[in-house]
Amino acid sequence: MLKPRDRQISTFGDDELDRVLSAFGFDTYGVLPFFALNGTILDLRRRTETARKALVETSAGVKVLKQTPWYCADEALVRMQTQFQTDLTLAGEPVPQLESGPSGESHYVHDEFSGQFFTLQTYVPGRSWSETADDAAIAGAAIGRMHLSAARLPTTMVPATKTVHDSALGVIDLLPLAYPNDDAVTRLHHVARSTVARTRDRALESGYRDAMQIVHGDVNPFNLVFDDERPGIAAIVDFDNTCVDNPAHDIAEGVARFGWLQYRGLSSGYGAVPSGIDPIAADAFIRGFAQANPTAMSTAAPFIASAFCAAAAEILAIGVLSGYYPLANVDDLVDLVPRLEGLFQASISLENGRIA
Amino acid sequence: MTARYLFVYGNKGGVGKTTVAVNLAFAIAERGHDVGLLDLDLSGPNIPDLVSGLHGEPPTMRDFRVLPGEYGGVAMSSLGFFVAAEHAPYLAGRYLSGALDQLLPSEHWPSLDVVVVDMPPGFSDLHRRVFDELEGAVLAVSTPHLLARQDTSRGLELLAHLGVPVLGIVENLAHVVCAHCRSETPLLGFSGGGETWPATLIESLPFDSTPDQAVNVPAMLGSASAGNPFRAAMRSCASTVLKQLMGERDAQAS
Repeated sequence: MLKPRDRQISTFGDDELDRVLSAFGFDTYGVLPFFALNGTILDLRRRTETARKALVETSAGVKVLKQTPWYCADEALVRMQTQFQTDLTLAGEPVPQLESGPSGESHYVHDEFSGQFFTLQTYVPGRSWSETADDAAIAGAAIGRMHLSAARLPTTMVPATKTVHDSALGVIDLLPLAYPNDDAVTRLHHVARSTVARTRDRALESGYRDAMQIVHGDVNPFNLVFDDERPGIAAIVDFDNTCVDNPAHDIAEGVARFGWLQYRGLSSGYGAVPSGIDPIAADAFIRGFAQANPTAMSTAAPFIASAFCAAAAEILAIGVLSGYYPLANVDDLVDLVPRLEGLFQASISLENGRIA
Repeated sequence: MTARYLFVYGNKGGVGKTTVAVNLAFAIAERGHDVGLLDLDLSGPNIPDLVSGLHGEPPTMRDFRVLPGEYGGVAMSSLGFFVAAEHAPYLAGRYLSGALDQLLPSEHWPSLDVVVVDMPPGFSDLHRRVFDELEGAVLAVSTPHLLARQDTSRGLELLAHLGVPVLGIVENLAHVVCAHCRSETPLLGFSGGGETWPATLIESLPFDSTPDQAVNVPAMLGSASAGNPFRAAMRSCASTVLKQLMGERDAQAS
């Protein structure tokens, strides 16, 4: 489903805020439209691409109120994602505490008036990604450690398995819906779909499903809060894409988003179409993950190139759908997609689960 | 000493409130006072554009409260420093009250003698809250145009209803001064005398035809601006306003 038009200009209405925060147990609160990141004051509205978020000042401190994105606004999914996040918090991972819902058992609110789902979690201050290899290594290590905790949780708590390939195909298939009459987009849809489907089938035949566990599903620099006092991650956030998949999913997304995708400044918006992989950043992320979780790296290693192809193809499709990549450049993406898996293999050499 | 708030207010948009507020702040600072400039026109925070030629430090944040930056010796706070020019701030309801919580002077602000507040046009919940929470006086800005005068009267009627002190009116774009003979020609039909305004006419400002007049404000107030009638009128306005706002404690420029 295409992203709905943002008729609320990324804000919550007063009545909606009152209902939802009261359901979380806060009848008195204030909204904080602005916050500081890396010493720069920012408008939180401008920092969100897929879900409305607001900082609220409550009697229990500053919290982040978030509406579940449209593409996962399903009660079973929300229940699973919030339970997973809570389990990680209890396991000692740097994952913000979620407030309990009205029943005290769930960690979300389902606003029956709007039909939307909301979470409220502790605001964790910190800094953003500094675009350095050190931060890529820190990120890889944090995700690797998170995978250790996640691997101890039953996969049956997740209602559906969604491989990185399935996720990519879902986004790629939005291209003809958004641009039904554009020949270049039609070519991109065709080549991206066939490329991702082919690498998925090869991975499945090679034992991709032999090592499945709960994964984050959206590893990127903007879902990590870096500690601004010591090297480390202060918080891992946004579990909307949590699913059961091979650990290669998160590793490949990490490589794609820390070592390949170009961003615009402090925002998660895309900059220029990425060309080559930054081998230093990619290596740092993979080494960080491997040092924290060598077992998962070993089992994932044969499939990371395939997962990277899917993750990168999805990124390119999002770029077109969101308008970051002009339609005039789509044919460049048509040429790039079939080369993605080879791009990874040429940049990163993994032998026996280790970087060669 | 508690800061005195000077609200530069006009019910009509485009009459020059921001230009008057910025120039007045620097003219007051020129007289030796510690001055702040607070931009509360949240839909069109233009103060940074008027000081773009100055070196300085932008606002910062502490405990989610905005602290003023500093440009040209004036403490300055405006959304325009941290909301991109191509982005429109959208602040309503709880977001508006939250933004005011973050922007209005807090205990983290430096000690100041005067804070010039650039108010948005019209009258809204923002105005009610600001006039209720901050103690000060209004300097109304208008042009001589009939529509502006009518809207100014409406606005002053509301202020009177709320008991907000009004120092008087600054009439902007009142006339053009000939660069050769210095004669004054009304710009918008007439340059009204005191009896045509609903409050004391404090100053009539001429149209300043200097290119890019709004840029590099201190240079225009310094020696390089000697003879510029707009700058002379702003200095006169600052003197009059300070006498009313602070009495005879007003320090003279060194």
